[in-house]
Order: sequence, then structure tokens, then C-alpha cells
Amino acid sequence: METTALNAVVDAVDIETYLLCSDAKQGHALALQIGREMNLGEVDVMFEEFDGYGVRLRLRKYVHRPAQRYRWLEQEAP
Amino acid sequence: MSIIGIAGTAKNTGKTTALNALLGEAHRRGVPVGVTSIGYDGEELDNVTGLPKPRVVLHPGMIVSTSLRTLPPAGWSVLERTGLFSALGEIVIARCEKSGAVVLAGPKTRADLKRVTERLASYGCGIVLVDGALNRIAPMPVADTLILATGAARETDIARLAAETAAVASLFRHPLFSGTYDVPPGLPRMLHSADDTSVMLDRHAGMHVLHLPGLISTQGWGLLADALTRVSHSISTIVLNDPVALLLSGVPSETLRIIERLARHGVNVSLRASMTLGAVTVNPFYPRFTGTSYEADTVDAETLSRTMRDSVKLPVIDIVRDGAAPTWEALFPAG
Amino acid sequence: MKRILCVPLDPVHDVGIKIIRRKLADRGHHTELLPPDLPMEEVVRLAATQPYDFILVSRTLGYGVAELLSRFNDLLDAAGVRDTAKIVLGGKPITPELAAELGFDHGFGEHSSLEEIFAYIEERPVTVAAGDTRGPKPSITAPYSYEFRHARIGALLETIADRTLAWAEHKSSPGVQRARLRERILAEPDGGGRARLTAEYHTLCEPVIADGNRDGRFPKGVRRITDTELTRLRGLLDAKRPLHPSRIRHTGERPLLFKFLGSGCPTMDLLHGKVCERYGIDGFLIINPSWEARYEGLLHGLLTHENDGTITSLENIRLLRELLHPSTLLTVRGHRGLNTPETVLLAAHAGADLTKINLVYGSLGAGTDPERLTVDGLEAMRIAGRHGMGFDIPGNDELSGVPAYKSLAGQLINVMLGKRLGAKAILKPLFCYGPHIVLNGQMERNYVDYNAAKVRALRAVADVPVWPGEPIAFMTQTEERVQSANATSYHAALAASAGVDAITIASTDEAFSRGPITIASRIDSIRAVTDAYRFMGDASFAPTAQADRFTEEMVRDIERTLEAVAAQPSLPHAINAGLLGSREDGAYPGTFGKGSVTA
Repeated sequence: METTALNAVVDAVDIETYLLCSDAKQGHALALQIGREMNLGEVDVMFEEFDGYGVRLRLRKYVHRPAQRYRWLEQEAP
Repeated sequence: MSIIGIAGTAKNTGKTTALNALLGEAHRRGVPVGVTSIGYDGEELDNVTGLPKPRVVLHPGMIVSTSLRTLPPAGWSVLERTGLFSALGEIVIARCEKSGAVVLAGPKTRADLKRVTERLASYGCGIVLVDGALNRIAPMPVADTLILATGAARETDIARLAAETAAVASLFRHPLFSGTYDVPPGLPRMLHSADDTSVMLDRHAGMHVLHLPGLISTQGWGLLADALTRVSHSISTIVLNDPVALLLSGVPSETLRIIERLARHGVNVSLRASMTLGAVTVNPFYPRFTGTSYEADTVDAETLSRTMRDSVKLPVIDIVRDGAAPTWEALFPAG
Repeated sequence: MKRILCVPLDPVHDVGIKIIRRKLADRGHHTELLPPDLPMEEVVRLAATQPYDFILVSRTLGYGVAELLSRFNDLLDAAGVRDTAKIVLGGKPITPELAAELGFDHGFGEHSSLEEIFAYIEERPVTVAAGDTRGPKPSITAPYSYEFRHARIGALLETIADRTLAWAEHKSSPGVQRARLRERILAEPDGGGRARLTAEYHTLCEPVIADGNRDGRFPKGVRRITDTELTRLRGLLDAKRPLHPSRIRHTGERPLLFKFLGSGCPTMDLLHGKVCERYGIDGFLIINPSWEARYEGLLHGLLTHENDGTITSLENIRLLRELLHPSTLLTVRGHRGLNTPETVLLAAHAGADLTKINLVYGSLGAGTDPERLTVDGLEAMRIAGRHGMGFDIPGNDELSGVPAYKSLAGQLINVMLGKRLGAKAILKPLFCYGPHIVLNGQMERNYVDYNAAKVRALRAVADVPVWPGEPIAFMTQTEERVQSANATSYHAALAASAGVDAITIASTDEAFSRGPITIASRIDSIRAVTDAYRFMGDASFAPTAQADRFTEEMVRDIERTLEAVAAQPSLPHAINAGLLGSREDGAYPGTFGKGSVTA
């Protein structure tokens, strides 16, 4: 088992950010795109609020979901 | 038994590298060796800079004195508890059974170090190595011979570093006082102010030997020299405990300058106990402070070694370039 | 008495050492404080003038400070100060390793307690174990008499209890029978007897449950935890220790702080649970999958589940109990489905401390037939009573739109039934912005008055513990992290101010429903509550005069509701008649298990 940072993530990685955009629709599209650009694949948009300038975002990528094989359990074990 | 102290002029000057070189040589030559540290050494990352550090590597049969808490779970036999404590708990004497890296956290004061080296000697160690910590040197007079580790981590200007090291080396060359003298009571143990100076001179009125029981700061040296060169007195010799007391005054070149000034006025400085400066190790590495963190950097190694050799008139070794053997040979020329 | 020299070897920061100096002086030590930022040689000179026992040095770290402090120790050593004095370093980032490296006798950092410093100076052991902030296991129910202060309401509840117990007498259900069978199975040694009883148990189960237990054909998303997973989990938890465990409460011992655990997977729950313990959580409510309540019969074994809710099998609860801290309280919910008595029995056998039973909410909010849940719930209360387990009564019927007074009236009926059957209940008013409140405007001006009034009303009626839930701040939280954490912390502060016994707090994922709760989100909310409690300390909220009016109204409405219920032949009749939540309120009597009650 390779020791990687993502393998050590207990459940999920959250991304908190603010993106400049022209409207809520573009903000949402950028929100989804950021996950792909960060090589996280599809992310959940937990919170998005367009305020006229940009969009306040809380995004989430689950790395380990309940009942899956937890790679942290394998790489931590003696 | 011979006690070798390894003192650094700052963090990251190469104490651990020097220690590992001597440990490796002792192992190769089959010399029974004991080891301790007056601080905390051998951790993977520096406690202050966060940069990686060399680790202390021991071999089977070596005797170590360190805090119980720092010993790895296996590969050790604890021979005795010392009743002495470091900030990490009780210090023990243990025998290494299996080669490996270890963290050393031993005695922190001169008195404790003396006790520990005696205990290490009792297990048949022909050589006891005392690892220093940062720029600490006060416990080192317990050693017979000192290795001074210095380098770019202390000062990146090579000429200034060489000059400073030369001044340090001269402080070790002061003569031993051979006569006897009376020690008046109630002497200040840190001579730093004008008051301290007048108390010191009053107590020594009519005497030829002025005894400095503890320390004298650079400011104290200035005040004492002013007094001894301007007013009439009977003092012809100032006696300090050891070279370390001279080193601790402050800036070595400044101390040296004042001592030379006193000598011109017929007042000489002697030591009650001597200590040999056996070798200087140099390290071109230094942690460069970026304003927010530290990055590894180096000065030119060739220039550093050459300039240092020209200045100090002692064996100068860059262990990474020259290897471990020259350090051992500088300390034990007979082999 | 020790002679102590305090040295702020720092240009700015000397507040910490001043506080320590004052406390040491209060303890009878001789202390002296030097002015800040004296030259080091001057400090050594002063330190050398008297035989001190301790030199306490405070200094923040920075570039070159390590060398400076090393030199300071060198000077003290060479000047003979260390012949008598121990040199101690204090400062935010100081660790024992750093103190050793710099040559100090000891070091104290941001996680050191004053007690540790005093113990070191007074050369005695630390009386409170350093780092262990968890005391003995607290009891929520023990301090209460369960007397009714409001005589009329007490009398009405007696009548309702009499009628309901009489109605339920000689009635049984598959749930009751399975609990009794289970009790015999648990008492039976391994072997033929147990196999025969288990086979009989399966005749009382729905096929999906019986199949799972017999040949591992589990419902979708359920599988056994493997031996390897279990070994690794134990190894992981055994190898790790909480570093600098923290406390949430700043003053006092209440409220106790609970969190839900119910990711579906006991392994994930345990890792979350251990981390929450480190942050000061006192207990957990294990939340089971909603389908577990709807099938007749329970799955057995160490099971993990991909979706919300951790299966509350005996083995799963035992594992949680075994690996959580012994002082951690564990609650297993059994209140709302077809397995209520058996769940309570298993919880008791697995070492859980508390359970959840609410005959009213389980019928109106969770879909179980009122008659069935009454018969099962009464049996569950008997089991809880026999095992000395308290039970809490979740008031989540408010979330469907039931007004608070009806929810509280229903909870009080459960309290009285529990009292009759030997089980101690805990009231759970919701601290929420529920639909009835939104429609009727009780929280238009603030969130304080109405929540405070619920606690006050219950305190006026009965001497019973109060544990707002579930979780607090329900329906005030959004998916935005900071808002969610803040909402939780304000409600937690209000609950502490109202003098409640416990609260359940959410994570900052509370309003997010598309995935499991993360450990980071749990930590965020706990931190927010910890900070609110530091801010509040022993101060309190001051509700407006409106809170008094709400309280009076609420007590009056509870009484009126109970009058109506007491006129009915039994509790199920009252529930079916909508007296504790009507169709207009948004509450419908459930149908699971309808017709399964037997005489």
C-alpha cells in the first residue's frame, strides 16, 4: 500500500474558496470544473452563493465512504 | 579514559556528523566507547528550523547515557538508572544490542555530566564522547579534549568565521596557573557591572592573584581592564577556571583584545584547568532564513576549509569531504 | 516554600509569567519578578546573588533565540547558579524535547496546565493526571426525583398511565416475543439449545432478516466486517492516543455534550468517535438505518452498511462500547420501529448506558402503528428499568409541524409510563426553528425566548432531566460551514445558560444531505461550541419578558392537551384521534406493524 496523502484522508476533502464569475450559472460550472482541474474528479457543491462579483463555494470530494475499503486502515496498520 | 567533547558554535554546524564519524571509527577499530549528549540530538527534523538532520547511529556494545524515554523499545539493555534528570525524564546508562539510530538526551549541567562520564567509564569505555547542543559549552570542561564544530550556520562570511575561530583557538592556549593563592570570600560570580568590579578589586586589595570564580562578561572585561590599567594595584595575574569561562565572556576576539591589552600593562591571564582544542570541523551547510521558513544552502566548501586551515593552526576537517578517519587521527595520533 | 526568580526574557510577552508568578505567590512561594528584556548578563548577575530554587524563564521563539537561550543556560551553569537552581523555560511552542536541547531542566508549553507547573516546582506528583480530562462516567438521571411539581399535570399523567397500562395488559406483539426469545438466547450456552431458539426467532422475522442471519444474504449495501479489518482497526486505535485532550465546557460539569454516530460503518464511527472524545465529547447516540425499524427482526453480527445508519446489532454495539473511552456515554435508539424492546435489550447487554423510547413520536413521526409501538414501548421501558438504563424521549415530532406543547405533552406521558415501569426518562425539547414556529412567529424577534421557554415550562412541571436536541439548532443551519458552526454554538450557549443536563450537537454537515458527515465537520462544530463556552463561562443569556409569557402559555397548553388525552381510553386512542399531533399539524399515525398486536 502506497502511503499517499489522499489515502490518509479519513473521509473527504473539502474545498473552500471564492471564484470570480459573471453569474450563478457560470459560478456553478466553475465550481464543478475546479474539482476536475484539481484531479479530484466530480465534486459535490455543498454551498454556493453568487453575490454579484463572484461565488462563495464549499465543495466536497469523498475519498472514503462508509463500508468501503479504507486505505488509511491499510497504510496505518503495522 | 579519554573524554572527547563535541561543541558547536551554533545549530547545524556539524556536531552530529562529527559524532557519527567518531562512533563509526571507534566501531571499526574495536575501541569500547560511551556516548552521551548535553542536549537533545538525533531527531529526524530540527526542533527549530524543521529541516532534516543527520541521526546518531550506534553499534552493538556501545554504552549510552540518555533519558529512558528516548530509548527505542527494543535493542537495548538498561544497565542502571542515574537518578539524574533531563527535561525528558530520568537519565539511564544502557548498552546498545542492535545497530540503529538513537535520540540522545543526557545531562544538562557540568555537575551532572561529570557524574555521567564517571558512570560510563565504569563500564570499561576507553573513550567517552560528549555530544554538544547548539552553541552550549558550559558543561564541556568535564572533557579532556574538545572538537569545535563550526561553519556557515554560524557565519556565512568565511573570513569572519575563520577570524572568530582563530580567536577561540587562542583562548584555549592560555597557560595553566601553577602556584597557590588565597580566595577571598563573597566574590561576585558574574562580573558584569562597575559595582562588581569594585567589589572584586576591594576584596583582592594587596594580593597578586585576582581570582574570578565564575564568569566575566565582555562588558565586565572592559571595566576590569579600565580599572587595572588606570589605578595602582598589586595584581599581576587573573585566574579563571578554564578556557570555557573565557569563551563564555562573549565575543572571543573582543575578549582576546582586552587580555592582550592587560598583558601590555603587566597583568596576565591564567587558567586553573586546561582543555585541549583537538580539531576544528567545518560545515559549509547553513539554514537560510527566508523570512517565513528555513531553506538549505551552502557556502563554497573548498574556500571554507582552506581559509580555516590558514587561520587556526589546528587540524581542520570537513568530514563530508575528507571522511571520518582524519578526525579520529587528529585526536588519537598514535592510532 | 521555594525561592523563585521569574525572568521575562522577552521584549514583549510577560503576561503569562506574571500570571504564574501571582499564582505561585498565592501558594506561599517567595517570588521575584525581573523587568522584561534585561540584558542576559544582567539577569545572570542578579540570579547569582541569591540561592534560588527555580529560575523561570519565559521567551517566545524566533530567529536566533535557540542560541540565545542556550547561552543563557551556559552562563547560569558557569556562574554556579545551577548548583542550587533549576532552570525552567515556558512559552507557547516549548516542548520537552526543545527544553532538553536548549539545556533547561524542564519546559512548559501551551498545553501544560498550571497544576503541572505547580507540581514540578513543589516536587510532588501531578494530582490530576496530565492530559486526561475525562472523569468518571456521569449520570444524567441520578440527580432527579421524578416528582411532578405541577399537581394537575401530574394527576392527568397518572390517569393516562393507568388507562394505557390497563389497555396494554395481556397484549403482546412479535416485537415483544422476539425480545423474550432473544433474552433466552443470550442466556443459553452455545449449542443445540441456542440453535433451536434462534430458528424459532427467525420464524418471527421477515424473510429479508432471516435470510441475512441464516446465510449472509443481507439487504443491499450491508456486509460483514472482515477479520482483517477488525484486527487493523484494533491495531490502529491501540497505537494512537489523544494528544492534549481538550474540554468543551469552560465552567461546571453540565451540559454533557453528545454527538450522533451512524455513518453506517462501525469502523468509521469509531475513528470519528475517538477523535470526538479527544475534543471533549461526553457521549454518542448510535443512529441505526431507518429500514431497521421497519422490518420485523434484527440482523446479527459485526456488520457494516454503505448508507446512513449503523446497524445496532449486539456485536456492533459491543465493539463501539469496547473501543470508546470507558467514561463515554453510549445511547442506542430503539424508539421508533418494530424492534424496540429487543434493541433496548441488546443495548443493555452490550453495555450501552442509555436508550431512546418515545411512543408518541415513534408513531407520528416515524411511521409505526400506535398500538404496536405502545405495546412494544412499554416492554422496552420494563427492560430498560430492569437494566437500570435511562431513556431519552426525542421530541422530533416538532419537525413534522407538531406544536411544541403537544410534543412536550407526549414526552411527559412517556416520563410517567417510564416511572411506573421503573425506567428513568430524560426530556428532549427540540431547540429548533420548526415548521409550527415558522408559521406562528414565535421566533420572529429572536431564537432565545421560545427555546428558553420550553426548558422553563418542563422545569415548572416536573423534576426530570432535560436534554435539548436533536441536534440543537435544527433547521437554523445552512450548508455554509461557518454559519452552521455558529448556529450550533449559539444554541449550545443558550442551553448551558438555561441549565440543561445535556445537549446533542450537530456537525457543520447538518444541512447537507447528499453524503456522510465528515470528521472535519464534526471538529468544526465542537470547536465552535468550545469557543462559545469559553466566551460565556458562567454568565448567562437574559431572555426577554416574552419568554415568561411563552412559558405560561406552554404549561397551560400542555395541561389542556393532557386533559384531552386523559379523556381517551388509552394512549393509542389519543394518538389516533390526533390529540398529540394532527393531520393539520402534519402528523399522521403510522402503519408499520398495524394489526400485529395480539391479545
